[in-house]
Amino acid sequence: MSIRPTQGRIFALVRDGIESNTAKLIRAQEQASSGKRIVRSSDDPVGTSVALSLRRQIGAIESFVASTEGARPDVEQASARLQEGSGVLAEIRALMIQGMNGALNARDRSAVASQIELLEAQLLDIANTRSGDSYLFAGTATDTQPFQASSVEGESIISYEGNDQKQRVLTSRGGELVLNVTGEEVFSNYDYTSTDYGKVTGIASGTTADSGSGYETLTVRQDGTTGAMGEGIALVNSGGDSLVGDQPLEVTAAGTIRLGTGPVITIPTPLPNSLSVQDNNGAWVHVDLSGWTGLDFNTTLTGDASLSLDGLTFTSVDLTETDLQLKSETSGSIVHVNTTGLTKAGEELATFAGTPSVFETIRGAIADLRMPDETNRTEILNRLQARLGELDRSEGDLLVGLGKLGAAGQRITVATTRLEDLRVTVDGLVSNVEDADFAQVALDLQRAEQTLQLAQATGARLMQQTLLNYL
Amino acid sequence: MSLSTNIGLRGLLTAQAAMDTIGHNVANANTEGFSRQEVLISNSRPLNLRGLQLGHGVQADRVIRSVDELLNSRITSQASALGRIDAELNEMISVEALLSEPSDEGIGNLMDEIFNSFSALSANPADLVNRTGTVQSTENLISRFRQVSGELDQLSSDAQTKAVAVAGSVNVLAERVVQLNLEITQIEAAAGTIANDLRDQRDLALRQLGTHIDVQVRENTEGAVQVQVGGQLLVGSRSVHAMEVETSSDGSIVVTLEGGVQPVEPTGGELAGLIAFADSFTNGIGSELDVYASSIVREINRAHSTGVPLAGGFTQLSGESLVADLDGDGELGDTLLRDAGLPFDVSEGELYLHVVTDANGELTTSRIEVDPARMTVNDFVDALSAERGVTARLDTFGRVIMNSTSGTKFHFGRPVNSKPDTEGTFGGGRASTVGSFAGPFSITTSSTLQMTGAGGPFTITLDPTDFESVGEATPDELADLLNADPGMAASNLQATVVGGRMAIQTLGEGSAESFQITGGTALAALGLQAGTFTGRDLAVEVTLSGEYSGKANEQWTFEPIGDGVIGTTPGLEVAVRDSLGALVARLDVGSGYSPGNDLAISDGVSVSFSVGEIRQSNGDALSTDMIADSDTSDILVALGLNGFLVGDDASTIDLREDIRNDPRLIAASSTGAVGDSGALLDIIAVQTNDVDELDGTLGEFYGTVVGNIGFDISSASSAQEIEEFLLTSLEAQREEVSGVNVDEELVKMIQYEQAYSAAAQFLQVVTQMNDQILALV
Repeated sequence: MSIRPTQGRIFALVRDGIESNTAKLIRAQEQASSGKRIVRSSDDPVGTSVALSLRRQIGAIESFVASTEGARPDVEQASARLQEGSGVLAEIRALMIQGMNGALNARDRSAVASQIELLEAQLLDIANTRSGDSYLFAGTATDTQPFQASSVEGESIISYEGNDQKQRVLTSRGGELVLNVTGEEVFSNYDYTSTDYGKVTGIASGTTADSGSGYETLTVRQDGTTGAMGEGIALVNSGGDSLVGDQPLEVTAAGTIRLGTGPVITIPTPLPNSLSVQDNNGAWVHVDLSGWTGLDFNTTLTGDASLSLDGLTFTSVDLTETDLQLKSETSGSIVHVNTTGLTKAGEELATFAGTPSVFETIRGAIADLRMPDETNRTEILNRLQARLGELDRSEGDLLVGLGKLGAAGQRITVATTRLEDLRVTVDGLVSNVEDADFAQVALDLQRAEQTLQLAQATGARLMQQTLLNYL
Repeated sequence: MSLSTNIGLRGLLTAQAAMDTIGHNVANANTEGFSRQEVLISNSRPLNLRGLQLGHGVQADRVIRSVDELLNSRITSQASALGRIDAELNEMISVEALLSEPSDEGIGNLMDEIFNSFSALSANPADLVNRTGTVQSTENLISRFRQVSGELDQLSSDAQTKAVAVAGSVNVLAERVVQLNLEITQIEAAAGTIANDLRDQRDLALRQLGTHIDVQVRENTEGAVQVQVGGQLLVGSRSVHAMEVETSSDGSIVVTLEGGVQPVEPTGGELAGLIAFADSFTNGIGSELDVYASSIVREINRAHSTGVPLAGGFTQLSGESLVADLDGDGELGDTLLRDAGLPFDVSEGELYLHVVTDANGELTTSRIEVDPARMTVNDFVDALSAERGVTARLDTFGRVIMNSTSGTKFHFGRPVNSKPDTEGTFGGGRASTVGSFAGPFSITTSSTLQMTGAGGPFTITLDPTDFESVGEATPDELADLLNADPGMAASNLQATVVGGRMAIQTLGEGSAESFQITGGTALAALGLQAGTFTGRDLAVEVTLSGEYSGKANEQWTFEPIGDGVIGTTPGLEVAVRDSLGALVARLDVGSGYSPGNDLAISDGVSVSFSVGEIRQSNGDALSTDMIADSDTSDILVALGLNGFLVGDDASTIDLREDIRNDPRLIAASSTGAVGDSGALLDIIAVQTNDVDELDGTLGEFYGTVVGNIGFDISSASSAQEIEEFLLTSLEAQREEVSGVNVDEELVKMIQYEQAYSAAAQFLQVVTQMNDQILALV
């Protein structure tokens, strides 16, 4: 059967043609004006899924950039401050070496000490650096001032109040970056090895291990000298004796007196009522020779002693103790000492090697430099030498911390660059999926326009044709 | 002669009828549903005149319409198919538009922005500006969720309104069909008459009915039609069974016919499309969005609930979920946790609760075993209250309220307890002994424990019935029982629990303190050993540091191997064992160890010991919890304790009100330290972690939801195009058969005009002939 066209059919055809071509034109126009190939998810469901997933990737990347960028100023500030700290330590070191110069007197040394004190305040300020409201070197206890001075039994000490935890951010799925170094690891690193004594009194470590940090001053107090006396010779015992343990005293008729293997002293005339005699270890005994008969005399003198770690409680010593426990009630430090080598009274510096914070070292050095003139120079030198060793260790800790921060800073930079690259790549992918290809859109637009015009033209021609025109 | 006049007249009349029909056709060329009509003409019966069979001219028999009934019924059913797809697609496109994905304003992107803000916060967890930023970005997501969910509800109720309107149109059309049925049967009762125009109108009405709902049409011999919908009668030959639509708040649409018992299930037409959308709303996008929202709440809260806010703990905390009184006995707390109507599931697991003393920062950790199938809400509240420093209760609304006692704070984080030896049972100053294994202990009848302390010898007798579970003594029950004995008090002794083991120790410290366990039948059952135990002047201080990075929760027990002095006795070791007794580490604390130095144990945790004596022979031991996840039971999430979000679907999801008011409550820390961001890192990990309930990450799930809508729409669109094309081509066919071609009609018009003229001419000739005859007269 041949096609029987009707008016209704012709009109419907023309209308459909114009409608569908206009729709194409509008679609192309929509793409052109929005710049997007996918305006609705149904435009390309697969593409939408891909685009959403790519957008999530960008989201994850932005997350990391947000956290690392937020962290960067802190890392950089901490790093800069530690560099400053390293400079301060170098200055302190130079000053300490200057203070060790034997030509300096007490006043000069005190001046050096004052300079170090200023530098210590600067270092404390560095250790308590804040960024906004948070302390940079307090571990994760960022609301706590990490290094605080407190007074224990009248002595000002600086202790670490932060914690040993790390601040972390996620770098990517599963990756973590540590952002901080704790004040403990850079300023107050604990690595105890042994307890050392200043070799002043002859005391040594006992058999049992010790526990404590920093320095303690061990006091060996002379409690009196005893011995069987005769030939009119007596002991003064009015303080000032420092002999601990047994030592022979030899007085010769030739007018000499000698304690142990110490220097031989000629007894002056008139006979003194208090003559200081020193033995080979440097321990003093005061002898009253005023009633001396002039005859030879030999005896053994014994100095009694008590020990104290905190200067408050004293334990009297039986010089056979090889493992005497001493405890400081103020700091809680415990040491075990061997007293068999004790030869004289005095203050002994007990160093818990590897434990003091940099502030303890500096404060100790300041105290050493302020020691009065009559102090044995060798002792000051010995003490400062020990402090210098600790200072070097502290500087090492600080440099390690600086290295860690530098590495963290670099990782942030590398990660940020990598992320920027990745973002460009992913952005490109998203654009590939989502964005309109303008050349394509322009072509589509043109094609839709042409077809529409064609449909309109043919439709108009078709509609004009009617028999009525000829009737 | 009259015959000729008659023939002329017939010719005139017939041509006129044809002209009328042509006029009718041309006039109705654009009328919807009109079928071209035609006059059937035939030559009249001849007359037998003068022996001749003389033709008697022409006659118009009847007017028929040009129609293909089969085609019409196919068009009706095709209209149904298209109507359905049109309606459904319309609704789906609205859903797509309101989700507006992919775009910056879509839920997907706002979700990413939340994680961004958490990330930014993780670098500076104490920073208030960042905290406020996190609250702000959460608000954006919440309001978007609210908006989408509200608009979806609106769409659903709009669909219902549409369905009601459609049912109204169906009823109007049905009435019309009945009316037309009556008229057609009346007219067609006269034999041979066809009610062409009425039939056209009825066909049109049926077709319109078809776009609303799929119909089966049957015509009876009288010319009336019956219309069935889903097997039920909508239009009888003379009556209408009105259609009714019922809607309910869950979005469902139910169609019934008057007198019908069962609801009708349309398979085509707009109604079917609306019903399909309603179904997909309740089972599809609507419920998927709810699942998505509730998963976000659950996953983020899971990480957040075990975090610690800026203040380092809580003094007050109230749950956001309400416990329901499902058994209806008026008491809220007596239902099992699993039946308490909580929005999220509780599983069997454990919860760690920490109490921090403000003054000295001392930490007490306790573990609460949670078994939703055995534990009632009250049991759980009691278990919380049992911990020193915490009181808990259930308020009248069914929320769990926790308070700390004065001078303490509590939290659910996972700190490493830096001073784990609170009881001093590991080389502490007190005289003490710890049993060799953990409880519960099996107690036999009249078993005894004989001890001698400062107050002289005494004997404690235990019976199986002393305990809640007869014969099975939990360590806590035992400790309470022993501490209640006057002999213990008289000798200044106390019983404590160390990692589930029994410990007995003096209250005082120092080498002067001592007590003896002399014997008794209960010794073996409790893991205790007979002997003399003395205190020590030098107490060992145990300090833990670091962060536990292990995957599972553990309880680590420290025991000396051998007796000796730390840092002094050669070969002295400390064994660290996990919950199962397996060795975690053996630490050398002998002569090579410098007291106070850190020894790495495992999983990022280190320990240091100060100088002092430890004795294996005394049963020295200490236990401490290593927590990887402080709430494996998810009970905090279920009860809404310390969550970040509240609600459990797209319309109720919200930020916790007190966090909105005070961003310091965001629980960023996992240890309690303000600079720690452990909980935030857990929250950020939610973004990339697979969620069991969703078979993928949150983002993937959402992507699938949006993708599916896109797929549905694009496949529905192509289906619509096909259906439309089919309908168009069917209509084209109908146009071919029934449509009016004006040109064709014009040709016919000329044809009949000429026929008319000819007939008139013929009559004139006949008249002339008559005149000539009359002139003869």
